[in-house]
Amino acid sequence: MSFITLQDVSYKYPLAKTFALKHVDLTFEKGKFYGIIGQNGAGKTTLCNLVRGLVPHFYGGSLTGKTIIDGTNVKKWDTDQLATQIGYVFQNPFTQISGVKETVFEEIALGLENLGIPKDEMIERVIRVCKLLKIEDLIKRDPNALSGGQRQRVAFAAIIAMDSDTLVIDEPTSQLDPEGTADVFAIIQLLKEQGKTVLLVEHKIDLLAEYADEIVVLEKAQVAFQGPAQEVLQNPALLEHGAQIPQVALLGSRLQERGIGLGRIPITQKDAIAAIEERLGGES
Amino acid sequence: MAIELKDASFTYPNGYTAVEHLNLVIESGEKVGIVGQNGAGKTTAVKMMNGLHKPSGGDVIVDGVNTKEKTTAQISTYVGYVFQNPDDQIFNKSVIAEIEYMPRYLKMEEKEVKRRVERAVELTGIAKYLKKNPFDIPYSTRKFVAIAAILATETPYLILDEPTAGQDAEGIAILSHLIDALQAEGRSVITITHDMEFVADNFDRVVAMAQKQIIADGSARDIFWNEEVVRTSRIRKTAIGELAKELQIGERILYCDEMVEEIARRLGQ
Amino acid sequence: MDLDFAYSFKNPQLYKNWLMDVNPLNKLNFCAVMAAVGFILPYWWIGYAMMAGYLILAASAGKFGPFFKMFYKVFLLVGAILFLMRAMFTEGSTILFSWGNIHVSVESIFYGLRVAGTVVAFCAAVILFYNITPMRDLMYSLERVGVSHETSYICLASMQAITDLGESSKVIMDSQKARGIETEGGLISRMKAFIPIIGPLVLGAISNTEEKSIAMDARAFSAPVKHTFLRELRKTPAAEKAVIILIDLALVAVIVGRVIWL
Repeated sequence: MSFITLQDVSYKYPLAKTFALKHVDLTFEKGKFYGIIGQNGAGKTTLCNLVRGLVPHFYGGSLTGKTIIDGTNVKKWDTDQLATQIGYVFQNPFTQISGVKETVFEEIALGLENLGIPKDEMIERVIRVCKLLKIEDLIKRDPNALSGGQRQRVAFAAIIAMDSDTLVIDEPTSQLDPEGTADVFAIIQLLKEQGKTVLLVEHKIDLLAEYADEIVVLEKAQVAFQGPAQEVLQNPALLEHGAQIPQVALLGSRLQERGIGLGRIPITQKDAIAAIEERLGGES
Repeated sequence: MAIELKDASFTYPNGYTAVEHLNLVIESGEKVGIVGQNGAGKTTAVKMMNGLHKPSGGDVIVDGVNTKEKTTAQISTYVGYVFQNPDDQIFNKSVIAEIEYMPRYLKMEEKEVKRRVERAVELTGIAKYLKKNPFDIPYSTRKFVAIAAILATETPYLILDEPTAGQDAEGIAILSHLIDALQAEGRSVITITHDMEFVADNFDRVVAMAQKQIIADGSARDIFWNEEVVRTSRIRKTAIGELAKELQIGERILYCDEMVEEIARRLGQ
Repeated sequence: MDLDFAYSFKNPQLYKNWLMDVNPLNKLNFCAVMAAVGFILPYWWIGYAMMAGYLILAASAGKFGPFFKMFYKVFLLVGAILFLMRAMFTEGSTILFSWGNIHVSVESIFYGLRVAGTVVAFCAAVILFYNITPMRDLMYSLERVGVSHETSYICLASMQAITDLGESSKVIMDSQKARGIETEGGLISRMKAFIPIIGPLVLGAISNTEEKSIAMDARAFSAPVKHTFLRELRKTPAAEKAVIILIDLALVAVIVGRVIWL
């Protein structure tokens, strides 16, 4: 079931000379996890802004083509209403802290207060996301005095607590160490299992390969590739389009070049192990 | 010529001790990657190297001079430090003015200013942005402007704090090239990063930190294949290293090529 | 996780101090009445009596330290200047001593004491209110009586912005030092360092507001529903309401008395 549809969408920011999105056709289905990759400046963040209604409502500029979100054209969506439907976590962790709450617990509850959630339910929901994001130790801390990585988790928690059906997440792990990054991906996986639709912009291709259902590759404001992760991420041509492919896929294609291919190009660690074991097992 | 941390500790004015008893010598021409969990003390450690933090215990010696005897600005002409967030650093109206600022501040001749700017711009690949306002260009490019502004001082040592965060494949390639070019000139580059592929690809020497201390110091292979170190500093191997561990093949493999060779060897090719 | 802390929000937040727990609007009411009374009553000692009262109130709220720290500066600076000006330049018949054109008299001293006392007492009432009323409590109460969500957010966020600006100026100062710009030492090097610091500070603040508004939007800030509060204050006790009404009546009485007897 398609939930968000873009038909021949082009967009220019006000005063900009070049298109931020050009003739983009995309479909996002409910309950799937989409990885959005590509060079910086390729239009990834603009795509997020469009799905969130910030383009064109907040930024202005000229938008052509059709963007349908849950049956309604984005131009007709009331952004306040859309904010309750689509959660948005963006890059900079510092500006996502409200600055009006004295503890992390209250900070996470802010969105729920705005949604008018009754207090008892609010408390339970905040407790749940704090556990989920492993920030139990932070709940009494001042959100304005946290490190970048901690803020990133709190900002993420604050949006997850709002429990919208769709999440648009723009590079949520830029400030996190490998462990924190792995945690975030595990949480996104969990959200997907709960039936949520996820659009994630991320450079960490190895992790995207492990979790994403579908991949969209943007290049110079256009869609260069799109399709199931397995199909898109095994294609070494991605490298020429400013994107990366997983290390194991690179390994797979190198082996193929050497004439000792694995029979398939794996994109996940697990599949790579299986494929190599099969290959070696068959020979030795 | 070297940066030496001698039993250096640092306690913030609020009483929080961020690093304890660090001992480390970084010679000219070395490429050193510093890895470890958030909060392990990496940033505090490098801030001691350029005098932003004066050690509260022990000493930090830069090219024979104790950092306690100089101002931060003085030490910074030896040890350049690029902050994690370029917006904390950039203040000029154009990219070029930003890069020229330090050479002019240090009252260099026009010819020298020009040479340095050209060099810094070439290394960071920002030639097409020179006349732009730094705040009108993308964040990831702005990070290169911040690097170029520090490069123009041509310090013998350069510290980069999370340079790969938010960079795409092209940005990472520019960084790799930049680090190699500086090393070729006999300069040292010290980099904090969470990007393990970047560490394995670019650094001869890796320092792992955990719980306010240096827990290991060695080659990328030594660090990534020391399970104890990987566990304690909460880092992970490269994807290929991880694969080798799971498959239990090869001699401490880290890179794609090594894995290809290993598989070829096993297949008798 | 500290569940006690999490569940503490189920009940009204209490400071367990009689004055701190008074409804912020009632505190505002009280301080305003006191400030007004100081101006209305013509006795020279009234301001000083109030200041003594404020010191006691601040102490009983456990805020003597912060209150006194702000109060004594105003007392010494504003109070002393007002007193000296009035004492020296007000005409009076009982001259105590003269110095050139300046004549200090008993009348001028009392007048100086009165003016200084009234003004400082007014300032002290504001300082007292500030110290015994956390901003977020005030905003909560104002929102409860119909002040908009936006207004409340702007006030609280501005307070935080001031703190943040201080923090980021430290970081920027560090990054300038790390670049080799001398910010330590003499006045000239400090002045020179000023421009590099102010630039990123202002630009950062501007770009932050735009992003912040997006961030708040993402938190359903303007969601078209009546919103709820996680952190609530206690219901105002009847006795407290009664006391405040009495205080307001007292103000009316003072005004009426002043008009009649003037």
